[in-house]
Amino acid sequence: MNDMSENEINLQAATTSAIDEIVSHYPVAEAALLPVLHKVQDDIGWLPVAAMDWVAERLDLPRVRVYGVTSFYTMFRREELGRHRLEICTNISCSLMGAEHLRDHLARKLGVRPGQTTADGRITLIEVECLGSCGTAPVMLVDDEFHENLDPQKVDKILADLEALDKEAGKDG
Amino acid sequence: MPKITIDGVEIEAQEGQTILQVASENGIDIPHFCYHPQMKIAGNCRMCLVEIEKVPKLQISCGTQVRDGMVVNTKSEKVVKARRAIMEFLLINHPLDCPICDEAGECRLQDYCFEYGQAISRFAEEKHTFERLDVGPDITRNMNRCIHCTRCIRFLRDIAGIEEAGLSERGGHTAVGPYLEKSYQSPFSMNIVDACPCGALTSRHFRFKARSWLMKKTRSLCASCARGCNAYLWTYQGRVLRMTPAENDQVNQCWLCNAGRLSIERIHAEDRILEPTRSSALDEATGKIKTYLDNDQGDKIGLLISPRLTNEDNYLLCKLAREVIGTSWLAYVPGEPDDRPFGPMNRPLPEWFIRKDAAPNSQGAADMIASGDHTEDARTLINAVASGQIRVLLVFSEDPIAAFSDDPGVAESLENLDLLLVSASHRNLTSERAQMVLPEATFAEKDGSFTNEAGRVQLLSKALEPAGQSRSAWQTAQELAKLLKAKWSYASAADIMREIVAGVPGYEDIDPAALPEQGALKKQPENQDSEPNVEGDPDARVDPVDTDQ
Amino acid sequence: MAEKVLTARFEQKDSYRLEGYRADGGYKALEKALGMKPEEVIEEVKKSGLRGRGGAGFPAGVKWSFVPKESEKPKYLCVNADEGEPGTFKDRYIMELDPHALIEGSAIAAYAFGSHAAYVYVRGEFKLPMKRLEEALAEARKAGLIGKNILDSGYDFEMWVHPGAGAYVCGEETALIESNEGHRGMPRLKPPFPAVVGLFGGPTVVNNVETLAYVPHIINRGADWFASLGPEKNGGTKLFGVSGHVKKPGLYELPMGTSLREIIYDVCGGIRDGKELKAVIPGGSSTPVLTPDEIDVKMDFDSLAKIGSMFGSGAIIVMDETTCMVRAIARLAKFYAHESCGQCTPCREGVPWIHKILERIEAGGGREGDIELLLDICDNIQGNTICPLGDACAMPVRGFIDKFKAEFEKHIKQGKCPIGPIPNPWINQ
Repeated sequence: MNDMSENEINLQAATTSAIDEIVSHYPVAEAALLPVLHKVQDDIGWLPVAAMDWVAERLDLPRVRVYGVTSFYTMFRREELGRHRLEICTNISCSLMGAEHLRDHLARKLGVRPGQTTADGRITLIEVECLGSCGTAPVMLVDDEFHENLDPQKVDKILADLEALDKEAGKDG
Repeated sequence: MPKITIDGVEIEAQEGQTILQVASENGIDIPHFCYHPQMKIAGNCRMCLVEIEKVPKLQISCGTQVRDGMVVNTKSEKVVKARRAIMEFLLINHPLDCPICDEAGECRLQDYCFEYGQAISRFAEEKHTFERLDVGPDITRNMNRCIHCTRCIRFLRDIAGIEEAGLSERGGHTAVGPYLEKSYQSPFSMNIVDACPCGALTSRHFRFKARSWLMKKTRSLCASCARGCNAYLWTYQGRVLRMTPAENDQVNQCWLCNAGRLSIERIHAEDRILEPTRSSALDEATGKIKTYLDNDQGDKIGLLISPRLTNEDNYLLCKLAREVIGTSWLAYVPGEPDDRPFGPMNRPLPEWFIRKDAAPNSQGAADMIASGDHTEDARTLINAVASGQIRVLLVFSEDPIAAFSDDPGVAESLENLDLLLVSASHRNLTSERAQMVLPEATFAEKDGSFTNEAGRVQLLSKALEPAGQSRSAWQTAQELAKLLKAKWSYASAADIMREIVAGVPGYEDIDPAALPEQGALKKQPENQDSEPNVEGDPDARVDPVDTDQ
Repeated sequence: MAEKVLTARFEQKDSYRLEGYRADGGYKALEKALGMKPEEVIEEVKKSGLRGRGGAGFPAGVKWSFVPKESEKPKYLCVNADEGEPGTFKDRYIMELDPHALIEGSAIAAYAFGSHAAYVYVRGEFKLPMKRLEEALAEARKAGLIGKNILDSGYDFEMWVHPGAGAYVCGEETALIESNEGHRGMPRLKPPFPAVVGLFGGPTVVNNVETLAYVPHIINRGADWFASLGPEKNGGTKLFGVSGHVKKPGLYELPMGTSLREIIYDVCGGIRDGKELKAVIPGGSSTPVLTPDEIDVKMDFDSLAKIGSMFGSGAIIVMDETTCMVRAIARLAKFYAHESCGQCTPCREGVPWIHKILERIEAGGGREGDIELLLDICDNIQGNTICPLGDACAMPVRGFIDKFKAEFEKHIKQGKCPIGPIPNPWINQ
């Protein structure tokens, strides 16, 4: 277990000032916990222990309270995931429109099971609950962006676009 | 005053009370897990559901305030079905651990399972499991057994004042524990072992030592500090296996600190003195003392009593010194003074719950000493040893070398005494240098009384026979007195208490035959500023209708 | 052709901007309301019969009237934009395409019961709706429509977005309040009710987005007009979200009381691929399922209650003959087990138990007695929990078993799913 005091997190100035503004919306700082955790997560990409501890100190909360909140809500990532996240809904309306087949299609293409990250660390496939877009099912979030009315072709295009995106970013594929 | 009916019986309740409170005050048992009279209401176990006339759904009796004319049924078919349902739900993921679980015999889950459980489980799916975890040196958590009542969370946050237990994850995966599974820091953390209604939280110190029903339970006192918390000592096969709190609103409500609980380990420690230096020790000591008395030199003999001894011990020792030996070289080493308040006990439990004075009876020692001739203080007495004015020193449950560790000459001057006799329960720096050592009983091995920092006289009750040849200091005092031809015949601590009541100022109103379980305050001396009652305030509890939100 | 109330502006370019909203008469209702007495505003909304559009159908005006007039602690409006009920997808469009309608409706509501602050609790996944809402709030603030002394009325009203983070249970009003205070979304014991003790201990009203979006229209055009759009005690229009095996799934604004048959066959074009209708969930996953012979029911709160189901959020999920009912309800049970907050015994233990049994039956491991066991577990959960999530699982389970018992029995008897694997829509039949 890493000594938490050694793990510094570096937040952008924009993040900390956004946090200050958010906190001002509430009569007590602790009420800002969810939006503040979102801001920190958007900045770092996930919530390591050091980040949760930073938030605890910033809002003057016991650490166990912050941890209780991050572990309650599914959107807070306590593990580092792949560079891209594919979150596909398989709840009833999406399931009626073939979502499980798309999920399996993705799993085959990526060589992972839902919940896992590809070996090269690029993509994590996650099965999620209803995303509130049932009229355009099947639906998937790609890095928090809605992609609707999916079919295998559209899904393949998404994968291709991500690959192109990564190549252009010049990083290892 | 609202009048309500429970199971056909009309009861007058108080405004603001809940159904459960009224029921429990009137001998009606409504089963429950998460409700605790000292804690905020959680309402999550759902075991206390009852039927209220004109209300379609069952309601939790712990969280429903009574209203005039309310008609409650705690035994209807609907209610019993709900209880059986809750019982079943609690047991589907609960492991069948009773044969290896320390809680067996004092487990709420087990008790209610008898009444409302099913012999054969209908659950034939995969159970949800967790790993066992030691959450620090004192407590083990078996998350599998946890029924998520949140008593541990509420205790630590609201009563101990540290929010260090929390929920994590969600739904059936919910776990209860310390931050990142580390350990609990609160000095009161072990109270959650008592509060836990099942075996999810157990004491590591007590683990697997004995089945609860095999132990004998004796109500006595903790001797770790001047608060004098009331406690139960649990014994089996000649050992004290654990200490749990006994209720006393004026002193400790229903809590103990960890250090106090664990002090029982000293009772059976390796460094216990179990027998005298020699079987003839006391006779030899008497012989030496007699020589001084025959030469009219009683004033060359000194005696140290102790804030760790009972009033009865100290009283007889003082009497020995003054009346049999005829010396006024009589002193005690007081515990550390504490200028923090003693009470009232509000929430959360304050730091000063644990007193700075680590001795249980400084007040009593002071009172016994003050009742007659004595030395100004222990320092003066020790100086008299160094200067040769004192040639014989009798030390009872004290360690002058340690107490005056700032003075390196003390050890040497003690060694130069004609006779140094130490009576103690455990070896100490002084006993190691004494010519004669006598074994003494610990607080768990004697009857007697302590007077706590607030002046409350409370009784100790002997939980087990003194180890080896050890005995109470008053018994040693009496034997010594008899050898010096005194006509003493105290048969018990109670005999001595009767004399204390008759002769020691402040103790006149104590009734030795009927000291209540809560103890009794001694009278403050008239020439002192009367202090306000600085003890616990029984009304300083959290409003029991406060919900845990 | 039925009148469009909420969706009237949806097709416009930049419908979400203040300029267009104002050009279409936006914020006139707020101006009018601020000139009325707060009690009069409440009366008008009461008279309109507007019932909560989030699922419970509680009359909005009545809810506002529960708030005490005087209060030591500040009063709050919490806008429920958690939209987590499977099948439901209406509030996101209001926030994406007409956020000012929500802002105006919230301001009027707050004024009516004396609140000076509102939080819009938006589920965390709704990034675009939140973005549009934040931008609209900024526009409104700049134009003096929210903030201090709105529209020079002397009334202060501030409004902020508070994001959720992935918890369906936070759609329950007291869990929402807990989450709004920075806690785990665990529902509170009631009483006390939020109208008396809510957010930060003050009187609080929790209203659904769609409910509030109707308020400006009611103020502008009158309670009677609104009530006349639907059947008695079920006035107004509704945003129906239709999903599943219809030809044209999507969001449709229709008068309350439109028949389910009309919605499925006329508005949505009927069942796709020439298949037959098998079952319909009328109001979101927690509502008891209906069979084809029940679809003449009018889609309103009272009519559905009469036939033993619920109107809920008006989320219509259509299932054709290729659907395995056991698989469908097993998937829903998985959802509820995942979303249970874990606070109280019946839900924390009972809902996953139900899920496990259903999965086992679907996988071919069903045993004699499973159906009775499921029904008994449902019975033991219902009515015994802190919040309705336990009921929300138990009721559909009970409903599916009631209406499709033979299918469950077949699974158990045959030791497998008689329907077969989930059909793949992209493989040519």
